[in-house]
Amino acid sequence: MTKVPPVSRRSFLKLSAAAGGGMLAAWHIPLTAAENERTAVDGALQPNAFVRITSDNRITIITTAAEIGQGTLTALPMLVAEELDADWSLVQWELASPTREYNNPKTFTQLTAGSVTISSLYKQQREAGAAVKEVLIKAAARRWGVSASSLETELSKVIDPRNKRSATYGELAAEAARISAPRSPTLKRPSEFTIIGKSKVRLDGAGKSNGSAKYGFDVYLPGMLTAVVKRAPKFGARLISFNAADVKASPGVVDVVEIPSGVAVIGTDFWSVYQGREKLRPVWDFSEAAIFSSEDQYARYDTLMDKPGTVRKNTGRVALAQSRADQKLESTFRFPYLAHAPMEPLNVVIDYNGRDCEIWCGTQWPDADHAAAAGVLGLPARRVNFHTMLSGGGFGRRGTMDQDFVREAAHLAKKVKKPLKLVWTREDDIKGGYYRPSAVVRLTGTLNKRGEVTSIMGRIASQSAAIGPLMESFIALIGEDARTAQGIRDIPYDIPNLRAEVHYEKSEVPVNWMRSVANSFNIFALETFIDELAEAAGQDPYQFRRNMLANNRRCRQVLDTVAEAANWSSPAAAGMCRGIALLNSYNSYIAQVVEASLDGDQLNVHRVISAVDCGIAVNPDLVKAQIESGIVFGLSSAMGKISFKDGEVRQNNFHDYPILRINQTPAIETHIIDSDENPGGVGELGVPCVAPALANAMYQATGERIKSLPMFNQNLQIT
Amino acid sequence: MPDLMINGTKFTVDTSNDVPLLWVLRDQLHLTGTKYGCGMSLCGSCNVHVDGEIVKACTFPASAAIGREITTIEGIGQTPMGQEVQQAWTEQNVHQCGYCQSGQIMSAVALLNGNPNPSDTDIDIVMFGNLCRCGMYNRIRKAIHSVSES
Repeated sequence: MTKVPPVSRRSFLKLSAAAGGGMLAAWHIPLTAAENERTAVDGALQPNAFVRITSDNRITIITTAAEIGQGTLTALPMLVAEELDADWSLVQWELASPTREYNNPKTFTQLTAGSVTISSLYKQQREAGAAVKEVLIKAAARRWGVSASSLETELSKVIDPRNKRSATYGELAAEAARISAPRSPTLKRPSEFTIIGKSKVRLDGAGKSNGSAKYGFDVYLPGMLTAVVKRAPKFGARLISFNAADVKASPGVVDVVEIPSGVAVIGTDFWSVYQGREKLRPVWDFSEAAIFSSEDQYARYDTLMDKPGTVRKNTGRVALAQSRADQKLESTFRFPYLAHAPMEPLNVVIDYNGRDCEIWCGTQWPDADHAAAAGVLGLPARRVNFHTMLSGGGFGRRGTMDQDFVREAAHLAKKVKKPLKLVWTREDDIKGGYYRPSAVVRLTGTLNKRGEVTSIMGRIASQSAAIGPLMESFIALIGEDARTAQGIRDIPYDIPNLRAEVHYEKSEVPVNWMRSVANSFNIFALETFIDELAEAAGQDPYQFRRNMLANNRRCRQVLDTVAEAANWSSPAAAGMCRGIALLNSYNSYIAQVVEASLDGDQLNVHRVISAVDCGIAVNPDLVKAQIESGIVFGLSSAMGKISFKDGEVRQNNFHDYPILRINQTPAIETHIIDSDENPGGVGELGVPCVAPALANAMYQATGERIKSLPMFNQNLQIT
Repeated sequence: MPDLMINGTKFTVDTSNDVPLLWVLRDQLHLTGTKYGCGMSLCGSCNVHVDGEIVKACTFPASAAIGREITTIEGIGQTPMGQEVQQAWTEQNVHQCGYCQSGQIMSAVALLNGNPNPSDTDIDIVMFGNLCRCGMYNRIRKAIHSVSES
């Protein structure tokens, strides 16, 4: 048993110092018997980094992925508890610290993104549980002097059926702590699962129901100050001057400090600094700022549609197919910037005293944040103690490539050297950048005489969510698809000639991956374009898709399932229109049918039916919740935009950056395909298809193709 | 320094400078269950009850609550209806990130207190003021109906 360092910075550092750094090193490497001298502390068993069993029989699962709402704190413990044969009612969660043993084995970092949590940790977490179970069985075998193979486990107990006795895991913890954990424990077959595949109630649900759950925003330290930052109104602008005197005279304001991102107003509480900031009257130098309008940007991107871009996919010979085509179709689509707008605005609590530092933050990338803060403060990483807190949503915003908000807090802490909470207001969030990039996408498709698609050519102009093409490729290696051609380069249909090109655009406007990344625009373009091709071929949109899926059984199955559930073979009900769309991404598959009706400028989205194949659904109800969430997110994305005029963001808050409300939300019906395949991702899966399926439905009602988002505006409102 | 009555307990607070009730609850009393989401009465994350009515605490001056009964998410579970709604939320897996759900629960309790059997339209009218970026609206609706049925 290795001692788990206490959470408070001072005691942690004291311990580290006492151990001459050895304690810390031990904490950084895998906690296995071979590498650590293990002594039972308080009768607790922690044979690996993920499981702790205490003498009171409590089982704590230390979860390595951030909880941004997706259900990590329930699904990961389910994986461990399954193999451990744990009594689920005794299982609790704890968020991991940003240390190496908690790095994702696939991505080598603690970034929670790309819908990879369950798929990448499925084996590791089960092995962690299985290893602990074997250790507990050995401990019981020793205690009773019987062979381990004669013992069974159930509900956190080792049972000796022959001699009719049992011991709880808690009772065995101290003895088990002296036994080495196996490196390759035996795992169950899916048919033996009793927890995986069951719809368990969320472990974080009760705390989120009674207000006791603690998000980063909820951390209060003794003597803590609050800070808000006035950032440049145009990206790339530089600060010239500001009125410090008036602000400092404002009640509750303690200090005004310039940092790289702007001017921070620091005071006793939020309301004081929020009011004080209004008096700053900053003067900016806009000579290097991005001065542009969204219309300018679209016009520039449009011109790129006629020029070759960087080739990201090229199979067959698209040019030849185009020259021989019976029919050639071309459509150009425009997509605005979007803000993630998580319900909990960004915030960081940081306590830096000039020597060491402690940080509390809801984040998707704690290890990168930890390193970034240490870098800004000029501290070795071990002098920065980082606590990952619950996140009130993320959608990518809490995992930027440059750790912008934690870096900003560190710059501020470096100057202030007092415990403080940096808070972004909602307006700061909406105007603050790191958006889903805007894009123009042109698709060209060809059909032969038999109405078969012979080629698809996609050309995309956009800023890269991952800085640029090189970084995109690197990030793809570790599993996060941040590629701008995502969705088109990996099209699920049998298209003999396929080419995808990207114009990587640069701008002062910072962008970042947002839930479903480039799928969020490319799949809209692709799946509405497929309907255009189907119409040109004189075929039903469902059958047309199906005909191109001869080599993709799982895509066929979700498509067939949704078509059957939506009764696609019968005409739509009177006054109702419907559309279909398909996606294969994150090692998962989804087909959706949207039913809607149009009454003048009022659109009613009645129902969204989904068929989902995500392999083994670890917690089916939480899979459904993620699909519901994705659908609402996708519809919100179809009605909102971040637009620019003279380089300034025009939106401010939820009144002009609307997200879907309860009365606008359709009925949602989700069918999960029964599967024994390893799990795929579902966090982003529900997002991309809903808007194109809706656009395809609306075409049935209006005869007009939607090629520019947002699709809802003054002329079309969702009711 | 006036007193505020919150969840049945009297607190002495500073209500000067037009400070909204939200920031008194959070920054002065560390009652952190009530959340900041927009600061403009647009999202409902900060919903509390003042004399049983839904109030958006981010724009409601704390001084206006003097002499009135304030109930927050930390206190609503002491009422039978509050407890039932909280339990329904947990059982129906209504939460994802959960950040907006304190406010959602406060709205739902007020709705059910006034109308134990709300229709879908009744639910829309009251819950319209609460945004959920995770999009758990159908579960919110289902949880409210489940309380009616129990």
